[in-house]
Amino acid sequence: MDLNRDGIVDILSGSYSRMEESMAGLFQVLYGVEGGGFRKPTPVLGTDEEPLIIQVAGEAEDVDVRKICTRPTAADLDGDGLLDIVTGNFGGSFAVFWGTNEGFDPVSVMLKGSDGKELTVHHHSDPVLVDWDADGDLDLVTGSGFGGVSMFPNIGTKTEARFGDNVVLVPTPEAASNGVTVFGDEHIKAPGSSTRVEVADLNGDGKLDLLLGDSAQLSFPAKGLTEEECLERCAAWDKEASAVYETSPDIADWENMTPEESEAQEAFNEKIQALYQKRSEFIEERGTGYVWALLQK
Amino acid sequence: METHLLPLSAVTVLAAGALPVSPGEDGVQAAVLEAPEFAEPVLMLSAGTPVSTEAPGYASPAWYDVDGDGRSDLVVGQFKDGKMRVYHQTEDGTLGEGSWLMAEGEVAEVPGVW
Repeated sequence: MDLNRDGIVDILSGSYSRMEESMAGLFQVLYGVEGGGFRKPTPVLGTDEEPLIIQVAGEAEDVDVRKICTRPTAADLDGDGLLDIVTGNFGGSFAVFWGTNEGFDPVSVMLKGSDGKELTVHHHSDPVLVDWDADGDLDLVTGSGFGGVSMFPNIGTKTEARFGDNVVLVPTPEAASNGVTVFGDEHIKAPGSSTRVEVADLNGDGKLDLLLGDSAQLSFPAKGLTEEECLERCAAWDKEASAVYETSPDIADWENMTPEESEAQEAFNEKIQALYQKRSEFIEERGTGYVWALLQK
Repeated sequence: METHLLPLSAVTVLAAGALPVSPGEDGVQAAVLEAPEFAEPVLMLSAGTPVSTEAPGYASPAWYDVDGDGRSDLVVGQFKDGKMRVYHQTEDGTLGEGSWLMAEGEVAEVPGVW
């Protein structure tokens, strides 16, 4: 997308949180430079010269769940010839910052369905705007924290988008392991959770395909252990963990803990830390993310 | 961090067949939206190895001609350090080895992730 309209493509990114003042995630743009390459990321500003932050008029400012984990896409949603920014968030809804001749309106608006309710998916919405049904207007395709891909068809017009019911393009995957440890990555046959979507005709057959990024958890026995030995230690650790968690202190008010409660919580945290240190001695666990192609038949 | 879940709005799962769609106000809405059917998911490979991110994961792909050679390339954002990896598409349609996206001579890192 060419955010500054200089004829050179830019990269637009969201972010988890700016980690100051509030948990709000900002929007960062890497402007493309003539001859190739990009500038360093810089926050996208509104017409008020302040960084854009999801904020709905009349809504309390401390609703972080709607401001963090932003994932933007830029497209002309209202057909005025100017790019708008549509973003997802941790809560799973969709906000739009309308583009004007002076820049982006700093007050965002939540996208709603034909029933008047906000469009939502399971947490962490991930919007891409594309004419999925080839009717001339932009539809909203999105991943979610639970995985899968949804599409909200635009049942309005090019200049006044209205979105219909959630159409599932890729179902949410079933829980991968049901608590059973599976080693390695051979069992991973399909996209997992936290899907991030790109839509493109990957094989040139004229049909739109999906590129899905995901999040996957991998487990391996620690060096020197067989899988069987590792599983035995996992079972023993599970019992120990259950016993430790049963000692969790009962905190009445997390914002105003008494000195005794703080001391108890600190001791509990140390026990948890020791517990997971012990686990890391017999099993290696790490997250990764894969990219999958789903070609439309 | 506490996980917040919002209720899912009305969901329609497409099965075999077609999904009726009301005509749009512009009159150009397709009368019937064909049910999408996809082939089995295939891992994207880079030089024969699955494209993957550093821990903790969260791959975010984009498909765009980064190098201007007329072929779309794969750009994958990740959570760790907010970095992006570029996999250039070769003449035979495969993806080459990845390299970090650079900005002003340094590895580009989007602030706000860690």
